[in-house]
Amino acid sequence: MRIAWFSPLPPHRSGIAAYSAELLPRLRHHEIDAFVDDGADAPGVAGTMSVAGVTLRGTYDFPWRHATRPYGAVVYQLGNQTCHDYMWPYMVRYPGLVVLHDAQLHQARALGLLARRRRSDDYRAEFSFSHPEADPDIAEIFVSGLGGALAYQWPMLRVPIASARLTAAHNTWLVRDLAGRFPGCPVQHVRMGTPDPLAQARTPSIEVRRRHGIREGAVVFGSFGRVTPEKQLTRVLLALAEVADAVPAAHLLVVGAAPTYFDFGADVRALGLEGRVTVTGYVPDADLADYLGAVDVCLNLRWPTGRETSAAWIRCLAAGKPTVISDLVHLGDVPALDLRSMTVACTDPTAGEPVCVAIELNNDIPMLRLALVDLAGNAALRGRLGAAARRYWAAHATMDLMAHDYEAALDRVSTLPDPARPAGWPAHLADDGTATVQRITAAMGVPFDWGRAERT
Amino acid sequence: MFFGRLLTPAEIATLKEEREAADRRYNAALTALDQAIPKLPESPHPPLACDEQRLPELNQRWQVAGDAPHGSMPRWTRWLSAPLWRLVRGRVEAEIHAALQRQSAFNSILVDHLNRNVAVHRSTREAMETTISVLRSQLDLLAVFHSRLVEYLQQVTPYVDTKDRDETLAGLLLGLSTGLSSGLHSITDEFRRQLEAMQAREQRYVAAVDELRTSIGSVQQTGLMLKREVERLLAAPGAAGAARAGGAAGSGPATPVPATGVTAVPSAAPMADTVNAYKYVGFENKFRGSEVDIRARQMTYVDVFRGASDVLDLGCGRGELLALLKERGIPARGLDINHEMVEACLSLGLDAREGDAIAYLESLPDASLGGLIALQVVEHFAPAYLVRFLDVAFHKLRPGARIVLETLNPSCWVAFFEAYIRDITHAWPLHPETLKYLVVASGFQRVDVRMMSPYPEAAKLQHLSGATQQSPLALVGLASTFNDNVNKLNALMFSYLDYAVVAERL
Repeated sequence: MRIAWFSPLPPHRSGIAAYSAELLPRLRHHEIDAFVDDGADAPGVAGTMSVAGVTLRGTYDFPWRHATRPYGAVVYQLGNQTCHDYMWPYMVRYPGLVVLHDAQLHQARALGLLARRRRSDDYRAEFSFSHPEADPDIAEIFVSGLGGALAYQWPMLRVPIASARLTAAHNTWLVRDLAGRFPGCPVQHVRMGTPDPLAQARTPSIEVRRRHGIREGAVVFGSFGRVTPEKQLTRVLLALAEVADAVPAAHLLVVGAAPTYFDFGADVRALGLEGRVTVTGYVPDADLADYLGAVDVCLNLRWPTGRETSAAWIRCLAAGKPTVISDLVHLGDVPALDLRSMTVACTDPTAGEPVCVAIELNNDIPMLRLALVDLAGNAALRGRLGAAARRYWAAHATMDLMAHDYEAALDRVSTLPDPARPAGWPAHLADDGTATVQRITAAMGVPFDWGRAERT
Repeated sequence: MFFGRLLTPAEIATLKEEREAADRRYNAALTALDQAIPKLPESPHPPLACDEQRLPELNQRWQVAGDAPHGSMPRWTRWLSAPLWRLVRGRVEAEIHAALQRQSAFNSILVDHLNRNVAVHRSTREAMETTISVLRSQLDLLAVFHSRLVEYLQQVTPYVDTKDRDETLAGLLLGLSTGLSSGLHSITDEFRRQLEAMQAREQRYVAAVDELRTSIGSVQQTGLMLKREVERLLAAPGAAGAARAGGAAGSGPATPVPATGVTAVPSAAPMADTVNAYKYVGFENKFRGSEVDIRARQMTYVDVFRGASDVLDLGCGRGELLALLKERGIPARGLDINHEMVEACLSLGLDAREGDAIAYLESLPDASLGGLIALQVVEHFAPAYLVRFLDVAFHKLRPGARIVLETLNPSCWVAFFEAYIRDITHAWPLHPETLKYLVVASGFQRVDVRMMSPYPEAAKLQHLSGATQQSPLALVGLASTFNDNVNKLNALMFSYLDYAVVAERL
């Protein structure tokens, strides 16, 4: 199949860029053109890393290429980051498969429309369309920049889902939720997969630990990815500070760089944990497997959530590491160990062995304390959880499984019709951008119907 | 410095007092400064110009000797005798000439001096004029400067006030928006965090409840099967003897076990046999409402059986519901004990048969029905028959199938007295909680009691609305008590005429 693939790609540092770079080679038997942002602030084709089996193209090339030789499927990898802004005009005009990585797009959309382009009227129109049940005045909170966490209340998903032939999501809870919220819009589950990190590790774990001065015998709790408040590391520090004496072996290794707006080091110093915490700074993707091998437990906490399925967490499962996750609604079907009762918490009563430890959000510090103590002090428990995690990954989250689900989704999207635009569709999203051309050609007495020309 | 906490009234008063005192001092100083602006003196005039009027004449006439003609002696010399004149003349003339010479020299010096000082006078006057002019202009500028200085000082207060106001307002707005945004974010986040934790827990509880339901259903089903087997064993020929034999086998005296009565199908409604079928059709036509009304009410049940098949409409009557189910593509058949009703259904092309409910159900294989609905039927069953009916129905329904039992609501006075006892074929009034309990006890789960047919508001007892807040207290109290009693009576007498128990076999 001839496929147009809209996604950021490395060297752009985002999870979705890395995800596409890992996935696309698995689909190389298709003819894939990857369309990257060639706007002024983007690396464009020249600055984007080449991906095996894929032709990189600038986005502006898409319309004429599609008009002259239509793609069988157009895929949009959509997340709540402004690096996805560029695909919105195409997504609403060329319906395809929208892979919804975040079920919360409000922040990126508001940033794109309000902060970057000052299109507040367009923002208001999209807000009202997305949430017709909400008072339109609510939009003013965000126009004035006061929204904050309120954005999660109004996730602004309707435009991409209503404009898609098919929407895909990586967890079953989200699929059910979207199908319920948007009846008539097809939604399909595509399993999230990651490569096997055990096959990628090159450096012995002891060498990695020595590199960062981690003492021998330490039980290393690792956190991976950009050091943002969402990873709840400050909560981990609070818990660690309370049990530091009880678990002298516990050491926190934070693998990632901290942004300027979050001074994680200040939190470490304030709690007197300098000797118990190591922050590596940015680590290239190629080295992540080495660092994964060097930790005993992975911390994959996340709040707030856009209902995303974390590839970083799955990578930890794949590495056979016990993981500590936030007890989030959309992860309810993952068998998790409740350390207070040593029982399995899961929405599937028939679920078997636990594959991780879940931390309740409204009881997180006590549960983190317990996790630090139990996991640091019980190597057998770590071993059981790690082995179960690896089995869970093999059963649910390999690249082969993800590629298989993508094939099914691509087949389906290629046969589905374009959806009809619902009533109240924002006018600025209906504009096809040819008004100026039509004005000019009309003045020359040459009427030009772009839509008709494209269809024929 | 004060924004970290609220100011006390005393502190506010002190700040205001200090501010007003500073204002007063400032204004007094400004007024004094304004008044101290010096008045400009009249400028001095330059000296008069040098008087040069006679200077030309002086320059012409300064020479008095040399040109005087001889012989033109003064008149007084005439009276001198000529010889004498001749004798002194030379001497006089010499003396005179010398004097005139000296006078001319003096005149020359004097006129020359005057001529020289004219230029000095002129330049001195010009210098003085220039100096006075410069001084004047400088004084004018100084006066302007003074005025501007006072004006400037007059602007200081509004400038400082507005500048302070601007900065304070901007600062306040910034602080307010930052604080508001931060607070809003934190509160929202906290609520969402709590909500997320609750939802995560709830969905596990829901799953656990579902699991419990399944387990309970399984236990109930096992119990019911055991009960049925016991009943069958007891009903089998020789069972009593076997039981007795069993009892005899024990050490104690044999206990008689009733061998009959347990499995015997109780009569559905003792009166049914005695009422002529055609008369009951007529009764229904008179009191149950028109077919259109009944059809509208029955529409609410069609959704319950969406996607089902093999639905049995027990007490199908004239077949209104069967027709609705047929229209929606839901395969269904009817059963009625009344021959005329069945004939009415058949005449409409509907699948219906005549028979007793339990007898018919027992003739079906277990788990063969996809749904069962009995509208206004169970009140016709005697209690023992009803219990037996529910037991049998449970076994004949497939897992996942639903049962709907609609009946009159005897907990509503008007329903009981105006509807229930009106029909002579009603065997036993069923309170909603009683029927719900029987359904649960028969093994059904997800049991829901839906109240139907609300009594019209206009027909209920009405509130007393004349009393207002201006009315005497006693009257207000009386009206309030009256209205409370109206509410209680309405709740007892005029609530819902019907209800339905909807349940599922898991």
